[in-house]
Amino acid sequence: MRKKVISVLLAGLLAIGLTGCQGSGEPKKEGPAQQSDSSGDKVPVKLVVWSSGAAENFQKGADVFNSRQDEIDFQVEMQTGDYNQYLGAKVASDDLPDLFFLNPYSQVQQFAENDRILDLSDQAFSSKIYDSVKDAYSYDGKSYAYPMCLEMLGIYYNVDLFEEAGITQIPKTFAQMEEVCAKLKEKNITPFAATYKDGWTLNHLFSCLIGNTADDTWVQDMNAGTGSFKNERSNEVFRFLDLMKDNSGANYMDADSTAGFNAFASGEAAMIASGEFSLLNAESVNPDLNVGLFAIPNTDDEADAKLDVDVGICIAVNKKSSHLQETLKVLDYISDNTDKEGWMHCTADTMGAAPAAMEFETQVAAQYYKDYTAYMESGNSKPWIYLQLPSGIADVVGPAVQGYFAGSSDMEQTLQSMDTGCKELLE
Amino acid sequence: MIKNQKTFTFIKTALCFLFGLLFILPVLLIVMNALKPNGEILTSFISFPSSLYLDNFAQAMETMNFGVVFKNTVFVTVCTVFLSGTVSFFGAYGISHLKGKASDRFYILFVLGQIIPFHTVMIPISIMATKLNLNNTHLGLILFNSGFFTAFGIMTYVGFLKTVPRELEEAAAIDGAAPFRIMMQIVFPLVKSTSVTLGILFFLWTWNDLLLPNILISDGSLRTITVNLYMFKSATNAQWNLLIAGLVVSMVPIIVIYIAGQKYITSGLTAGAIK
Amino acid sequence: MSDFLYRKNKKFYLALLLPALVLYGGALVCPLLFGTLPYSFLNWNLMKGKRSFTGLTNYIRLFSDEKFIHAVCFTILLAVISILFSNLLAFAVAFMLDQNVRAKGVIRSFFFIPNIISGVMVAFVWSFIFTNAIPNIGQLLHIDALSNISWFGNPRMSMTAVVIVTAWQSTGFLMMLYVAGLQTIPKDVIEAAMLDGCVGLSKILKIQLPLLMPTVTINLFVSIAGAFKSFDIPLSLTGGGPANSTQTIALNIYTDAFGAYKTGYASAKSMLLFLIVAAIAFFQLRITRKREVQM
Repeated sequence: MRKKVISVLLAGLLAIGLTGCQGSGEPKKEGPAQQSDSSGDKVPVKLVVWSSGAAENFQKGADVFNSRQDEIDFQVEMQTGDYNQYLGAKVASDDLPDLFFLNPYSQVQQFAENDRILDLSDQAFSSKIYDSVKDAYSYDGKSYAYPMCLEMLGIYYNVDLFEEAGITQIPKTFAQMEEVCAKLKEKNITPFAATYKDGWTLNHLFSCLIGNTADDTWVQDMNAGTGSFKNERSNEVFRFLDLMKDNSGANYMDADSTAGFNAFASGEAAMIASGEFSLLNAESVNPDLNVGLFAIPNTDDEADAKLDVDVGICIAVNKKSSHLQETLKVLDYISDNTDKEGWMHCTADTMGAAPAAMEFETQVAAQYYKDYTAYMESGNSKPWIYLQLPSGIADVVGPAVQGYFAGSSDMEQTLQSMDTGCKELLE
Repeated sequence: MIKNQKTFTFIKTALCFLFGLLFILPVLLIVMNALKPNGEILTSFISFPSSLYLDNFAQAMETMNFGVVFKNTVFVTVCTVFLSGTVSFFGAYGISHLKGKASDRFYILFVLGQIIPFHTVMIPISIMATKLNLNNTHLGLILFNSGFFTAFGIMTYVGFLKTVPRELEEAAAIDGAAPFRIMMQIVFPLVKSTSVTLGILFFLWTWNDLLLPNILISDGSLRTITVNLYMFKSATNAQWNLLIAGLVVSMVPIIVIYIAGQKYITSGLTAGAIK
Repeated sequence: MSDFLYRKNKKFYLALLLPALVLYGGALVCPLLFGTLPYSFLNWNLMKGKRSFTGLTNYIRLFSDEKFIHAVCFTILLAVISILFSNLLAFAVAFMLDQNVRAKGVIRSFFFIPNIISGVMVAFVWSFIFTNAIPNIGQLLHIDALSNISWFGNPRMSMTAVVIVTAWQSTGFLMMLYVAGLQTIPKDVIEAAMLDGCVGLSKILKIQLPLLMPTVTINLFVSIAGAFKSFDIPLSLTGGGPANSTQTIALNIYTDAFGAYKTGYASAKSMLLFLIVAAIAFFQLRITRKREVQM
């Protein structure tokens, strides 16, 4: 009897499978239409994105575009595995899609150098992008990618908890930062939410800190192999790290980014040194969260406290795309900041979303967004400096800083391992 | 006497059951959380769900395009299981009937394949797939996966074929049976438990495969279930409620097949055949 | 074992190998020999696009690569401990459930299910168990050591965490194979042994284990191969941290190949990994296969 049941089950599976064979070629949903069909009425343009909290929004953006016209089928393909692997595989097999995401600076430059992506200097968006981030998507003086969004790193703070602790002014120097931490501790509020199990959060932190203490030629020197992470102002970087170590609660190495974002959203900690993406889950944890933003103050000079704002994602056009005209039309749609219902509205208009790299009227009402706008309008921003170093640097800096936080390396050793790691990347 | 035996069995069963439950506790924790809304998962992971919240499942399945990916995955998995099972059995049968050095060498050749991590050959494979036009096809997935699984399949079958008495085959050969018939009608039924075990494992591995489909398949309509499951996880964030819900749903077929397969694995056919 | 069948059907047996050779060769052997191996002799950065022949430079360099050497040591440690632990546990469970116990199928699936779940979810729930559940239990039972422990704060505890989770996940898979193996032992052999007075441990060691050798071969080999390929769990549980202390070889290779895009260097490391494991496996196979018994 059992045997019969099982054979029926297996046969059933096989039947589903076989129908799946016929079904998989012609989906009934309104999703991607025929591709290899020679009578193809719609030209398919594919944008490959990496998986992120905003992925559904990309699809919504594409749906709006598709509903407005009939010639082009804009498909958003989400790479759910590791995007770096995907990119590597596609570069190796020379099979890049029409549009794809790239990391700003070094990746864009490498792709441009190897003639893989199209020069976009004559596109409409070129003149509209904020000046401060021009380098992120340029190579040899020309624009090679579209900067889709900006991300901002800084200290996000819980406005209500600050009030409770009697903090009335945003700290702009290191001394003021120490005071803020002391006041919070007095009220038994954990100052910083720890995320240090995830090395990449420490990489971000370090990038903000060293951006304040490095001089103008530092990036060039590092890329040439003659620079060093260590300089006379290194102690200004490390004293801030020490401050965070002392003020992140107990067992801070055990908390990963999810735990940290969560702790901040639920009010267990008053601040978190991170990016706007830390707020994506905040609404489901605490819809009444009142979040403000200020730049990381690790020096003694108030003017140094600039918000780290840089391009988060660049969209590049594959030079060998078989539908260049249509691809550029889609790019036009994506970069249109006058379109109130279009791409930017779908992807950049919610709490925790990364804003566009040009002027766009958004509907985000949170305090942190106003703070961000204030920094941008007064020109008080600086780039994410780690993006300009050789790619792979995040895997060098993150673990090194982790070692410092875990207590297994001191300042000298940490800086030394970063230098060695960076040199290895240059070979 | 009999009553003591029964209590003894009952105690043993209870102990095993408890031990099993303890072992699986982390999994139960995961499943429990599928019934909570996102905020609750993040703030009170350990507590029992406050209500039978099924929204996660609905939302996850819709975002994942569940109907389509389920069909795709079943198709690819069933084909892979049959292909790799067949090829492994044939190959192992051949190896275990060859003599001397040749047999050993072939065995080692196949067995060493299991050492290779996928990343190692990922770039060459993607180049190969593009050249052979296997990109974006289910056939590509089936062929490559079957190729990988053959290593384990052959190793396992060779091992278990050792438990089949040679005399049986020789007797049948003397009676005039063709070698193919001997293989399929006499030997194959005797390694049924191995076949089912391998079937389950190949099913599991294909079903959970993420790397290969990610590289080979780009069309939304051809995707597999695990690929779409990971859309809820990103480098900087994760929608845990949807990820857990999706995971629970995609786990169900495997568990069903595993439990169903148990009967075949332990049917004890082997013991009787010798007599 | 007589030659009769072999002499008669040699061609048939060779022909049976053909499909396997084609499939396996195409999917694995070709990419390895004509892809990874040649790449290992190149200085090739995938993104920068520069390729140049450098002979054995990559191989020489990896011997002085501190991170790689540490990864090798940690991986060997992880392998030894998790193989021992999971194999012993798997055998015990398979054996326990082979006896007069009801609801075997369900209980077996309890042990197997952890193997079904991907590394990400496993890491998520175990992270929680380590950082929340265990301290809570420690507080309840008033064991200070347990409630204050920092699992991911220092290398030693992180390594322990990785070992525990790895062993937990692999036990079910090994158990499955031991169960299948136990089915192949003819009942009359066991009955005969018991009639002769061979029971308990002696029965296990002298009768069942030798007849189980083919399964032991497979399991040991798979455990070794799996431990050296260990990637999902270190990546999701600790990210290789803190400070790369729990980075396994596979994770190290991955960082080189897709973080820094040093395809040539990563290929060299992969070839070396392959050779190391092949050597160990060869050794292991030789020992256990000698003890296998052909019925």
